[in-house]
Amino acid sequence: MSSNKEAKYILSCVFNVSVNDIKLDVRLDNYVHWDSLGHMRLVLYLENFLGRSIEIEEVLSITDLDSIQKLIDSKL
Amino acid sequence: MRIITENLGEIIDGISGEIYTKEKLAKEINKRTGILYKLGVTRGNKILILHGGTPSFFADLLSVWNVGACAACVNPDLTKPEVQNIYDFIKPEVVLVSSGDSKNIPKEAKIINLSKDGFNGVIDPGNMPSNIDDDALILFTSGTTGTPKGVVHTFRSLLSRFSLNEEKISENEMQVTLCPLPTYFGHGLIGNSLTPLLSGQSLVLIPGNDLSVLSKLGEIIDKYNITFMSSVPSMWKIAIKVSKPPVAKSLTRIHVGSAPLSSRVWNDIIKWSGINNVVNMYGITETANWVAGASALDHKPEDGLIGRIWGGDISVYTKDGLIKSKGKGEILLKTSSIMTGYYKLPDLNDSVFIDGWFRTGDIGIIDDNKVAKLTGRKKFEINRAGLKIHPEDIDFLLENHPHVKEACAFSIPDPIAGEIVGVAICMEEESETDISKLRSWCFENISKEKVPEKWFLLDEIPKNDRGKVNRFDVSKACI
Repeated sequence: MSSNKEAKYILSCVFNVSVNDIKLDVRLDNYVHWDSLGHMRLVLYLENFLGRSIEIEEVLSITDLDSIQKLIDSKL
Repeated sequence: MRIITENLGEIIDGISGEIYTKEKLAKEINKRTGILYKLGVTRGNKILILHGGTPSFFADLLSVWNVGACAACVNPDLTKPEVQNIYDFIKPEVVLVSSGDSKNIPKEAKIINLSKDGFNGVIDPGNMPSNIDDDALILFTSGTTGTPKGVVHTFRSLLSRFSLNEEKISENEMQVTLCPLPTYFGHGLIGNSLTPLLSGQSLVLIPGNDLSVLSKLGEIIDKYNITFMSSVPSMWKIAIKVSKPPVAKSLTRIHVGSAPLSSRVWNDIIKWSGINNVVNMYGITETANWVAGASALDHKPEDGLIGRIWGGDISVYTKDGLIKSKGKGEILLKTSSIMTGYYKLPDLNDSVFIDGWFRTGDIGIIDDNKVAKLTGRKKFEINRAGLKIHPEDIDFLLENHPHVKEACAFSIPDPIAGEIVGVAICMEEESETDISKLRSWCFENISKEKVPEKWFLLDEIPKNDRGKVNRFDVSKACI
C-alpha cells in the first residue's frame, strides 16, 4: 500500500466506515467519529498492530493520517 | 424554593478560568431571579435549560428554583428534531440559553439569555411562594425521538439526596470538587456538582469528553488542588493513558459511576491517583443519582461491587416473585430521594414500583452484611461510556426513515466505552442501501452518542415463534 493508504484503512476499521469516507485531511478535531473514545480505540488498534504499548507523548501526537502512517511505517 | 445564597460555594470554569465567587454567584442568582419574576415565571412553571457545564448554568438553575419553578435540564447537543420533541412534550414557559445560538430551538419558544439581560431591583421572597413537594427537576433518560421519559424530582427528594450524600462525603473531602461530567444528567448535576456547591464548597468544571483536556487531567488536579472528583470508567481508561498523574497529592476521594467498573480499571485509578479512597458508585436518575458505594479503603476491588446503600433500604426480587433482604435477583430500592415519577407517564410509574420498592432493572446479589454486588442487567439499555441509551429510541428513529422497513438496536461490548450501539436493519424492497447515507441522516436527527456505530443489514429481523423481536437474539445473530 502507498503512503497513508494503510492509515486510511486503519481509520475505516476503527470507525466502522468505508475507506472512501475517510478524507485526506481528516484530523482529530474535524471528524465526527474521531472523538476521545474513537481516539482510544485507534490507540488500542495501533498497539495491537505494533505489538507494543504507545506512550503518552505518542498518543497525543496521533492527530491525522500522516502521524498514523508514521507510526505504522515504524514497524515495517 | 428560596436559595440561601450565603451558603453556596464558588464555581470555576476550569478551561476559561471564569470564576463565580460566592458573592458573584449570589449577585447573578438575584439578578436572574428578578428577570424571571418580572417575566411572570412562577411556582409550577417548567423551564427548559438548554445549556450546561458552566458557572452561568448553575446561576440559571438556582434562579429557576428561587422562583419555585421546575427546571428541565437537557443536553445542549440534541438535534433540532429532538429539542422540538422535548419542547412539545413539556411545553416550557421559557427556554434558557447561554449564547445567541438558538437555531435548534422551536420558533414559538420564549428564549431568554439570563446572563445578558439586566435587573437591578430587590426581590421579596414572600412573593415567590413554593412548597418542598413541588416539582424541582426533570432529567430525561430516554425518548428524545419518541415519548420522552423524564424523571421528576421534587425539592424534597433532591434535598434528601444532598443530605444523604453529605453524610457520606465530608466537607473536607469535597472542599475543591472537580466535575468533568455533563450537567444534564444526575451523576454530573446532583452528585458531582450540586452536592458540594450547596454545602459551600468550591466546584471546578471541565469538559471530560475533550481529549486535549483529559491529557492535562493530572495538571488540572494539581493546579486547583482538587480534593474530590467523580467520573465514568471510560473517562478513566482514556485519562490514565493520556495524562501524567497528579503530583501535589491533593486528592482525598474519587467516585466512579454510571457504568460497570472492572476491578482492573478500579486498581488502575488507585495507582494513577495515589489514593485508595476510590469508590465504585451505584446511582440512578430515579434515586437522584448516588444511592450506594464501595470504597477500596473498605473493600478489595471486585467487579460489580457497590457496597451498602446510602440511606434507605435494598432488597432483591427473586425469580420466584419474592422480595428478599438478601440473595440474588433484581435489585429493589427504597429511599427518601426517590423520584415522584415519570413526567406525564403514569402507566410507566406503576410498572416500576412493586410494594413500595423501586425496580432498578439491575441484577445483583446482596450478602448477609447487606453488601451488594451487581452481576447483570435485566433492562434493555445500552450503556455507552456512562450514557444510557434506550434502543427503542433508535428503532423508532430508523423506522421513520422512508427506506427502512424494520430496525432493532442492541448493545455491543467495547473495550473503551463498555458498550456501543449496534443496529440490525431490514430495508424496504427496492430501496437503495447506503449505510453511510443512513448514518449521516441519523446524525441530523439524533444526538451523536446514539448514532449506531455498527450496522448489520439483514433480509429480515429475527423473531420468536410469537412474532416478537428479542434483542438478545438479534444481537447474537449479528455479532
